[in-house]
Amino acid sequence: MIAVKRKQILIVDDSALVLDVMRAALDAAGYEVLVANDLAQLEQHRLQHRPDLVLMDVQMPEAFGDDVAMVLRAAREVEAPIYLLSTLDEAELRRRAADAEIDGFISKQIGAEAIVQRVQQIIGTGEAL
Amino acid sequence: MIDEIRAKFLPRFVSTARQRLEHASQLIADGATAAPSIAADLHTIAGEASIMGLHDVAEMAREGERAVRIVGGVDDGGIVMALYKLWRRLDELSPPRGGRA
Repeated sequence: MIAVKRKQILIVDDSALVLDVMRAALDAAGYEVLVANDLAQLEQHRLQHRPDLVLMDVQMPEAFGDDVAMVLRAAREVEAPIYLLSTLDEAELRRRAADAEIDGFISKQIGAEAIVQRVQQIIGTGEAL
Repeated sequence: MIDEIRAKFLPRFVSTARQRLEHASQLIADGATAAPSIAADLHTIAGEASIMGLHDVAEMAREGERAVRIVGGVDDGGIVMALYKLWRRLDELSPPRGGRA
């Protein structure tokens, strides 16, 4: 039997419910999903994996996600696309993503199904080459 | 598939949203100057509701969050009304055991 390698998505969010719903939706679409509930878990995943996409909440108890994303990109040299995933207004998300010099944003307001479609547009289907 | 996921997680969403509303309501009842905490509770409800595709609930929570941030405090009828509307909507989604007084 040939094991199919799946693309990895790392989601960082302080809501366990958001993490579980998105993991279920993205897993059903064929992706492997890593979740981080706080910055310690994020750092652990960063050291152990090379995700194909990072989705980052903005308003978290420990830090703003755009600040964390900026550090991941500039100082930790994470090359995978990094997108903010938040319920903030699109204009604010656009500004925060630009200021952090990351790849963009996905609004939570579109719901899990549409978020999966945006992920497919960004990194393609779940099967890795 | 998304409908199955939504159905699976709906009871948990309602339960955690009620806990956050209780927390926010208690802060108001205590007269606490805790606008940031209330805004955070409502922001989380909005995010979770959005992910679940419960867009009306998400908008109610955002409405309350906006009211808290604009007023900068908790002594405002708009915030109380937003919390009340959310309670009502959650009860429609999943009636509380034993009813609500």
